[in-house]
Amino acid sequence: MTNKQTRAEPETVEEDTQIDEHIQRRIGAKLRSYYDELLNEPIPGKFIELLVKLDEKERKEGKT
Amino acid sequence: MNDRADFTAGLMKALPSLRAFAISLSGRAERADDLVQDTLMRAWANAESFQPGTNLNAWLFTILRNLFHSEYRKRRREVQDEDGVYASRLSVQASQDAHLDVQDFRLALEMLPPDQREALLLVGASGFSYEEAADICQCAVGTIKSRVNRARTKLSELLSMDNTEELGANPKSRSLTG
Repeated sequence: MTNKQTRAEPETVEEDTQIDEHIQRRIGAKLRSYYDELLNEPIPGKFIELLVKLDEKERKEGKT
Repeated sequence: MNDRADFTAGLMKALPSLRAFAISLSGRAERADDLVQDTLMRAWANAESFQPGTNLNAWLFTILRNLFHSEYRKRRREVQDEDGVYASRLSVQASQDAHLDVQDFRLALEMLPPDQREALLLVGASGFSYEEAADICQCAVGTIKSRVNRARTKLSELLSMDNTEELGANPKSRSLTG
């Protein structure tokens, strides 16, 4: 069967066309497992140190 | 009252999600850590402009995102071939095997235009509402929706997803045995 121009849908809809719901779910699941790995990575100590340092500085200067 | 202590505690608590966002936005761990550090410094310096009781994470993500974009614009001129490198790496990975799922996903994510990637990350991974994401990106809610939608469509193409795949029936491998 040939499939020549059987569709005559207006092109304006294209932008808001939703992709298949279960593909959407699978992408969501992949995204979350990818992201969970990142969330569970250990936080580099330098960030904690930086915040502690900033906090100490504030305390010293902020004393009224 | 100890607003500063609350603020510091809030920053500590936000670190994992800030860092995850930075890594997935920039695609590079070292660059991401610089981004997070700059975000913390800027947040600290502007702590007065944060209103306690409002969403600290959204405020921090806004700072990080703005830093990323001003840096991205600078770097874009320096690294022209970035897209080409990612594209070739993706095709290599995709031809390997299914255990590299997360790897493939990461590479596909890196191939999205930055505006679509960040919209998807904010809504699909970081747990912000469309409205919050729109605030963070300083654009309309409809724009975020359409970016998320386009990101998903593009990802499904890059990862060659279709309906038959999920059923576990692979016609090609069947025909080998039959």
